[in-house]
Amino acid sequence: MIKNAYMQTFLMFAMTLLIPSSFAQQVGAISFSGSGFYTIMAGKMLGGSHSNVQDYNCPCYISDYAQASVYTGTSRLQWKPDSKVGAQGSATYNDFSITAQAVVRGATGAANLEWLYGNYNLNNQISVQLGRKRLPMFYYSDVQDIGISLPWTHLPPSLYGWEAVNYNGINLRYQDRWSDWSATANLLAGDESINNSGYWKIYNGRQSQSSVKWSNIIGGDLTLSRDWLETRAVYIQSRTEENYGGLLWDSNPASPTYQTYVPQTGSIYPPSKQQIMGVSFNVDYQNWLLRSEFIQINHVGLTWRDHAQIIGVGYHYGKWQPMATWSEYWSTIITDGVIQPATPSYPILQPLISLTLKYDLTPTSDLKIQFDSLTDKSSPLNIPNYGNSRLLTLSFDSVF
Amino acid sequence: MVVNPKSGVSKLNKDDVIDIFMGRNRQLSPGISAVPLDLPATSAEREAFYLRLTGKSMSQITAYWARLHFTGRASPPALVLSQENAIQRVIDDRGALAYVSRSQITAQVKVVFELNEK
Repeated sequence: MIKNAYMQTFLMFAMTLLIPSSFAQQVGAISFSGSGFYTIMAGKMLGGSHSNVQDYNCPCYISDYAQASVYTGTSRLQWKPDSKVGAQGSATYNDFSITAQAVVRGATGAANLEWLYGNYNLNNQISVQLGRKRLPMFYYSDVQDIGISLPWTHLPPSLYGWEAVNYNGINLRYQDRWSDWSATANLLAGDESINNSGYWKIYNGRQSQSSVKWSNIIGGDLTLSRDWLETRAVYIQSRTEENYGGLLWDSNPASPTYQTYVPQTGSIYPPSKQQIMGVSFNVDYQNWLLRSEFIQINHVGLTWRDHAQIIGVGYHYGKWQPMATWSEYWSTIITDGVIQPATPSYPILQPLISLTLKYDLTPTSDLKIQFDSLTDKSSPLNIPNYGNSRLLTLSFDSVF
Repeated sequence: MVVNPKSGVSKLNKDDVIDIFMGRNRQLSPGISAVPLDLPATSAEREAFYLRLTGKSMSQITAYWARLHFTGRASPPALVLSQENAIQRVIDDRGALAYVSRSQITAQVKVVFELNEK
């Protein structure tokens, strides 16, 4: 991995300039194809709560928990948190294909293999995939890196913020028409291991180390679409283990090692069963669009429950698309299925308002500008408490 | 919308064409897979076709296909460089479908759907 931050950023942008157009080639009975996407995004913090949270200089806006993408309190434009370039290749032989997708992110400065799977079409309705895929927790999970597919500069982190985004396993996909409805269903099983998770770097410090394992993942989703309406329901469960990996930022003011990294091993939380349930309702009616999504995550045997939701309304006017989105994450203490009263550290409550203006530059590229304002209404002793933040982002998204 | 006379298809309705060109169905007739053809992204014919068929702009169509293509759910229509190339591909391939102007239609292809201006 290239260590110099400026060199990483330069190389990533240079790659976007060298990108060839998509290709398709037939060699005997095998067809090869390649394509890609990129997002160049600049962000500037406009304000928020000024303090140091762990080793982050805040105000801070966390745009992607899984990748530890954080805009910090510098006055400079920040390019690295959400800029990315990805390439995808596939080889197809009759009803069998292999697909691979790699993404280089400014946030990590490294290339990650996001997808690598084989697909076999059992018939015109059913196919089976085996390998590494995106975990479809949310409506936009599959395209979370494809900026041109999103109505925002970046996904609302209130909802799209979790520790695992991929899995290794098997997926059975069904697609057909049910009367006037188009139906797509997936059944999946697998597992996922993450070392030094971006998610836990946000909670435990930039240099913190962790080990996360989601095992026995099983679940499925069903998407129904008709004319201007698309609805989706998802359920996924897993056994979840989260462990410290060696280093932890000490956030305890009473500790003699306060605000330094200290050795730490053992469980972050006791192993538990996780249940993820979500629904989304999306409308594209004439020039109007509505995006809504709701999710609840239960941790069986533990003492809290997570919720998140987004509601966004936009209007497509020629090449322009203004959009307003309200989203919120909140977490409550729960005992025997009953939500408990507030404590000094709970609930966590973080509403976010996003205003976005999208402009279709060409048929394959767009420009977006977005203002985000997050108000942290969590109980004051919730740690780490990143507080309020206001961020302005400008993105250029394209596919090739 | 034109197809090969040996495709086994005599007529398509608007929903059939939407399903094939939007990747929801790639079965043209028993035993024959549909091979939809697209003109270049900058062509006026392509823009008019999708606008009349789906009511969506080219940018919206690109966003739609990015969602399907980069998740491996479906491949976008094959690209041809001109209406003449599209006609030739339909003549050569029993599964090919192409949208062309009426003036481009020849006796070697079969019209199965007409998309009129609103």
